[in-house]
Amino acid sequence: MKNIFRASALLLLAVSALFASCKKDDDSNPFKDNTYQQEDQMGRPAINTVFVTTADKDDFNTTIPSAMGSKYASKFQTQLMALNAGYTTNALGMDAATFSGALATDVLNVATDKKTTFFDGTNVLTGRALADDVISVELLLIFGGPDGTANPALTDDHVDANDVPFLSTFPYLAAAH
Amino acid sequence: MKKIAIIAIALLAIFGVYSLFNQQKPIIRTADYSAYMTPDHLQKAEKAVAEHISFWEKKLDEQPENFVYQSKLASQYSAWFKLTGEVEKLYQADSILQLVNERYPNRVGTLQALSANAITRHSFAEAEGLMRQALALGERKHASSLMLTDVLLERGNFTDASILMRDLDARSQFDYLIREMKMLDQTGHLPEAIEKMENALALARKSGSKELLNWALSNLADMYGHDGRIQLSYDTYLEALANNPADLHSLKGIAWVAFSHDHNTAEARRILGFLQTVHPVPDYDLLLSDIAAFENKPDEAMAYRQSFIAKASNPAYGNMYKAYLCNLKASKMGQADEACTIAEHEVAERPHPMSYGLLAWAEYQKGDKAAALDIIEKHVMNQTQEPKAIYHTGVILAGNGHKKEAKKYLEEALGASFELGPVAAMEIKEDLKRL
Amino acid sequence: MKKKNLLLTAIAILSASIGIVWAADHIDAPGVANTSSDITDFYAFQSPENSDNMVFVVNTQGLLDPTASATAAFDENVMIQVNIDNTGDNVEDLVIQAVFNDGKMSVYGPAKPSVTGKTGKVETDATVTTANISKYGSAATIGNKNGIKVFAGPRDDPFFFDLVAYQNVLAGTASGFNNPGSDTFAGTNVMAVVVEVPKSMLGSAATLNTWAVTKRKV
Repeated sequence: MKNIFRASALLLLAVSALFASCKKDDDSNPFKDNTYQQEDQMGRPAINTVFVTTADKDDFNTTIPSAMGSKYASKFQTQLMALNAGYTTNALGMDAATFSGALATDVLNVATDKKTTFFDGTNVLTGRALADDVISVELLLIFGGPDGTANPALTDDHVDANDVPFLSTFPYLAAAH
Repeated sequence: MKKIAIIAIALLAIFGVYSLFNQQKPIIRTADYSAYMTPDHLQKAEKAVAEHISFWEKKLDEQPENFVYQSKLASQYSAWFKLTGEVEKLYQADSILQLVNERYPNRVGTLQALSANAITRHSFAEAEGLMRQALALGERKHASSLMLTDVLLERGNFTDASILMRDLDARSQFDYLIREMKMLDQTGHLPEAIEKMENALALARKSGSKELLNWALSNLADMYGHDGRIQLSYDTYLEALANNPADLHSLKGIAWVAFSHDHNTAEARRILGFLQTVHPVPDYDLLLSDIAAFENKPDEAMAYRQSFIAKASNPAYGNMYKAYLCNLKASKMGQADEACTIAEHEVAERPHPMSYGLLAWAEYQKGDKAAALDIIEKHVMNQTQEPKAIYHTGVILAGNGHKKEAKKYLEEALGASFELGPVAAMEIKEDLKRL
Repeated sequence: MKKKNLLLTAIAILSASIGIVWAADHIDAPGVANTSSDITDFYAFQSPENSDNMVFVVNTQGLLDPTASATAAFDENVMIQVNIDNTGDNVEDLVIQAVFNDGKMSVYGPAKPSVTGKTGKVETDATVTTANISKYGSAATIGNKNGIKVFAGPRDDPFFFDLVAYQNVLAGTASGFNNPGSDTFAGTNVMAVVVEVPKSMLGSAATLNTWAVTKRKV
């Protein structure tokens, strides 16, 4: 009997709590005053995959970009040389230190006054559009040498476009499969 | 034989008087859950997993060496096992992951998945090795730490588990809360554990994941039952079923409420009968044997026990049913020697106070009272609150002449009557009387 | 015993689902057991429809097969945020924040954040644009207010990459890519958030530094 009473009292409490929370939701913004903590971040595509070692991945994902350069530039250079021991400069004329330094701060640069593209032969890192073959650009810059002709087996993954066409209107991404 | 019959009659008489004075208002109402007692819900869930499987199998046909697709397929094979009880799929999942691990060694994700598979197979030593390897690699350290905590708690290594958890942040989040819950539960702080689980449930409600929500609800329902809050437990099972009508765990929980609280054996049998038709795993025989024993049908009870042992001894189940087999062989089958062998293996795989409790119980049933006492003093007493271990501790203490302490343990075990079931509860009362 | 062991078994099962969702290398989250906060990709580009507008895309929950896409949902405990630095110091001067509740996405901003860095608050006093979360297999539901357009829901994963060939190169089991390559992400979906805003709301810098973050409610 006691137990039954206790259980129903609890149920009652639960029910009134339910009403209380419904009321609150109606009256005020459910997101107001919440505190949030970062779990993941991303700037340029695949940077974490290519340049960050397994042991550093967690730290890199939670280091704010303004602190990334000093912390990761030399590590990126080590990783770059591990990937391509023969690296001298790339098609952008960047030596290993310059290239690593540029990538270590993992933000995506976006131009507000011209074409936005990862790389189209003229514009460099002015954004990332859906159709940009970003992986091949990165491979070319890592493995392709000063004129982009070195290591031809490594400079293109030969997947040049998405499997379905993008839309010309908002939201631009193709419908789900 | 005659003696057993007399005891049985005495037990029945005691129980008859007991129930006259303790008429418990029944909790279950068939109308609440009968809509879930149809194979349709499970078939729908199976269809979804079959679709996942055929999608990734087709992708793999196109790219047979694709480890991404292999890993996805392995996770769906595991899901299929969890849904249907088809244990072969668990091994298929494992061998796919082994292949991936050979070709791409030292990948945290593969190691985590392999470890999770080992946990499901109750191969805890293997799981610990894999998780330690994953943790050492550094990537996804938070997840690896949480998963290693799971393994350590299963292995009874509360010290290392506490050390691991001490260094973790994100303590208000679901993943941390449920480990904290497990730690509290296993160290005998059930009310605090329930509080953590309620907090985790609130987060699961907002997570957008029906799986997470269902898991939180059905496990919280179990915990309310452990705490003697049976009505709340039942209501929570119902909510779990409303969220996932294919949730067989919660249906089984309701069968337990029907039996253990309401003593409505007919309804408990009806629910378990349904579960057996849709989910061919050994578990249900064990409950049915308890129900038959309660109804004073010893032959039927024995038949269910034998059926359980036959099914659960299938080598494909590996360690999954070892603890149940050991307990059954020691308590009911007069096979204490075999039970000891199993218990020794279980202690090696899972040196948890519960496993030592089983070993002590098997030794005691074998007749080695002193050895049993030694084991419980070293490895069980004050180290677990698990009701069966408490109960067995009480019996072993009594058998060694420590009556005062035995009484304390047996009374504590009696407080967990709902969890232990009415048959064990009657046995405990008998034991107490004999003190 | 029965019940207790059931509990332990069930917990082990949960761990299984934690460990397995890992495969996409381009996800690479920190130790996020609950993968609802894994970012798969981030895009920023001038609107193909209106050159005065900028589009931001943040994709999460990669490698969803069609069946999974039908039931996938956004985590209401998670905020998806685009950070925009328009002063060149790589600290966010403006944020666009997407949060989810009861089948609806609310997008706050672009607004000056009251907190920068790894913690955060929803800037609830900022302009808010809402949209119902689009359902799998239905037409996109688009929110549109003050020149801002927003979308949330399952979409084709726009990323294309022969991830496996790349991993084989790294593992030393292949000396180069295949031609043609195989798109690991073909036929799979993601949970996408797309926001289009007038460039005029982003300040006057010729170049913005942008990045996407996910933050979980504590």
